[in-house]
Amino acid sequence: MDFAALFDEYFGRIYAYANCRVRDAAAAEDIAAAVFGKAFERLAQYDPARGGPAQWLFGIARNEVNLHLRRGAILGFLPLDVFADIFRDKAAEAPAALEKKQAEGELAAALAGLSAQERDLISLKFYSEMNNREIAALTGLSESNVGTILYRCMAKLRRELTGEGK
Amino acid sequence: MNMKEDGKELELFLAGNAGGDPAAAAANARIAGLFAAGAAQVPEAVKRRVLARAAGAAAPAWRPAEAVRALAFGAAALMAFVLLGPGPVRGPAEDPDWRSYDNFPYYADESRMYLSDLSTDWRSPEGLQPDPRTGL
Repeated sequence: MDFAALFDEYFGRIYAYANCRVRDAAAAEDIAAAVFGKAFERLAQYDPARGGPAQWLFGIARNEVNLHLRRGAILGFLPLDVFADIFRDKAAEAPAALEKKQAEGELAAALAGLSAQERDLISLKFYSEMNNREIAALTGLSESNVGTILYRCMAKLRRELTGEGK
Repeated sequence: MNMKEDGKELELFLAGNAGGDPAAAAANARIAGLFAAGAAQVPEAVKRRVLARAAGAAAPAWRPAEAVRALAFGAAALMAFVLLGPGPVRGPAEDPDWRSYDNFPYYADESRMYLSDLSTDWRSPEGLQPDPRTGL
């Protein structure tokens, strides 16, 4: 398997998945770097018989995100977010970036209403584009459980984004 | 599994989830659009940085042959130190008998004289040897 092709095809989705889970662009970048670092290192060990590249990469990504969240839970008492506004370069924000930020903000706000497990499953569904059986194999849940959670997530997201049922 | 099938999987999921309701289908399409935008609009600079870091992280710091050489060299250095090194630092030799004059070096001369009957009274000037330099 060609690493460059793999990177081109999956980088955006892995980064977006990590960003959805951790809601921090810098941390998502770190996670994506760790995922592709490991993928590059273990490319020879990749066995297509055990699953597609999406399953393989998102499996690594999921572990990296969980590791990051566990570290965050330990260091969570440090209120480092207070520095974020001070160091943000507002002049450098181009209109396209602002538009993206707005879209991200809309999605981020909708995702904030979901539990950690729901965010994991819904972002896996959209970014890895795996079927429920593959997601179940990756997460250790049953296929029907994955389907139920995803159904509930979509209903919540629709309510958040459209005000449906409010 | 290829990307074409992946896309179809997502389409089927969205359609099935809407359950034939056009409003729900439109809302689902909007949600899918927001997710897709998150993946599509990652800045090129971030992509370049991640690629550079991933390549850097993947370069192994230790190759097996280097590790074996380093281990052998370390073991040899340790053996040389153990065999040729100064050995354990010994404390002053002390007589297990706490009363032994070896344990009281300041009074060793007097004690020896007393014990060898040179002087019954170790404080006696007879038993004390004059200092060769001062004669006292």
